[in-house]
Amino acid sequence: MATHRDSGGFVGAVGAQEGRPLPGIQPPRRRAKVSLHERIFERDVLLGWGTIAAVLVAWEMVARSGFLPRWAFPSLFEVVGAFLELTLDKTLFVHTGASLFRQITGVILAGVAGVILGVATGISPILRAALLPLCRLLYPIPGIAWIPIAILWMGIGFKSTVFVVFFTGLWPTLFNTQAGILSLEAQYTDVAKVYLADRSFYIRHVVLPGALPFILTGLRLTYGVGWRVIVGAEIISSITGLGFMLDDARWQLRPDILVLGMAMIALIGWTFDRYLFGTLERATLQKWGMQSRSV
Amino acid sequence: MAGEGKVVVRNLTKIFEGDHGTVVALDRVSATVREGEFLCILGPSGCGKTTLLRIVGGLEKPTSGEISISGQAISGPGPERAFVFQDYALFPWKTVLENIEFGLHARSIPLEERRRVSTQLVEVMRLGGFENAYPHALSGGMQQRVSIARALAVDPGVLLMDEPFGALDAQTRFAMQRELLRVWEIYHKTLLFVTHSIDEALYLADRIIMMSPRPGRIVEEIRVKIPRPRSLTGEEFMRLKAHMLEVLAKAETPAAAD
Repeated sequence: MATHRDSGGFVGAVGAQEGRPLPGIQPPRRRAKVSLHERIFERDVLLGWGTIAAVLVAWEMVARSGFLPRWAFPSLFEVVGAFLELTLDKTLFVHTGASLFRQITGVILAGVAGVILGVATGISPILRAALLPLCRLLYPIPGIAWIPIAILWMGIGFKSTVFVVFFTGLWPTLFNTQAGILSLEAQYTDVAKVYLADRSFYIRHVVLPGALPFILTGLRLTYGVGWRVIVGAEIISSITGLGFMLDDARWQLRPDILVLGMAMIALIGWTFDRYLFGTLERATLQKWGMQSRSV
Repeated sequence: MAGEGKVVVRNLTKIFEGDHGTVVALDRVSATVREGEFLCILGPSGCGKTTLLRIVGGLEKPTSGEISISGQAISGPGPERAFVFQDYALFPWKTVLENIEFGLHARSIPLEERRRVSTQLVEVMRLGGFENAYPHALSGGMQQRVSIARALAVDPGVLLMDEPFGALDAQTRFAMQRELLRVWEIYHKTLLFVTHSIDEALYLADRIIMMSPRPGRIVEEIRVKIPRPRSLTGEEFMRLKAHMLEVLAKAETPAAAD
């Protein structure tokens, strides 16, 4: 009998069939290098992409079914057509570039200010007492609500959009940085005192790296809320940018451009979150053993 | 003044005011540590031994009383003292070398000089091959070696150690005790070592101060004259141990009565 051929001598006794050992009992051969962890990861990636593909297929089926009017529900092929059209006449680059430039400017300003204010209120009880009530009062104002006053002060365009991104994005970084500092282990501060670190050394070598898990989470959120609000701001107060492109497409009855704009927003947001922040976390927190897995 | 001791503690009292009333952590504690002496402070938890060490280290302020180092009154941390913590307190974001150099870096010593000191200490503390590793990759014993190296790097006259081997398993702990004696014999720092282990104190110290809790007081002082390396089962060792157990038992009686 060929039963024992692949079984290492004992599997056959459990009842493997002709030349086909039972799955799971067979000692690993070809996939010996792939760990269980990696296999679960592969499975999860397949599941994730599978769901996205299913939604796209469902969309296309609805679009072709004729239940919904074409001017409201474009086929994916029309969206791809719009992508080619706007790429060729370069308007897609102009709008994406305008949005990205405003977003990056606003996020950098909000991130820097958020970290500075977070550190200040985190290490100084006096500044915390002085600034926190004001921050708590401003925090509930939605980003969109800053737009009218931004237009009043700065007119339509770059400055007012950046202003809105700044005031929306400031809070997550500020509050997270502060929380990270307040939860810093007291022993780190003791070590800094024992070895006579001055305030600036203490902030640079102890406080900032120690609070980095929180700071990165804050910046991630700042980026996210900034990107969410920028479209709203551009719809109201701009003549360029992806938000303007969406609104303009609605007026022109071009649902394909509308969906294309939304897809661009999703892809850019996802790319930054995964590659920029994921890379930062791997280069710091994971290397230092302060975080076990990337999110 | 300078002749009377490297570290002099006079009438030190520390009272903690908490939500649940006041606690007298230290009650008029006085002690003198000679230059180059290995002193163990021994006692059960809550006897104020760590508080005493933290006050000497400048990490806490006494309610009353005074401390002087080499004849100078102190009121905060200073360059002549270094502290080794029970949980190592290494920075996860710094490599072994960078952790060792922390005190030098904070004092703006140039990189070249820092590297010279840390490389030498890596050798003394037997950390070779781990210079660029991050603490999370090291065992507890290795982490504590880094922490001791960080303390030695600033070349302190007085080394303060707060139950440094308390979190280690028994074998690593014994190995680290021998390592510490080896290093102490090289540098001959004045050493204040807090522990709750009688064996550890008897194995290491020139002199042992025994404390009792509530309020924290010194109840006994023992000079250990057994030559090193000491045997944990020697006659004198066992005699002192029996005596110390008796002292601790007696010290606990009044606390049990209230």
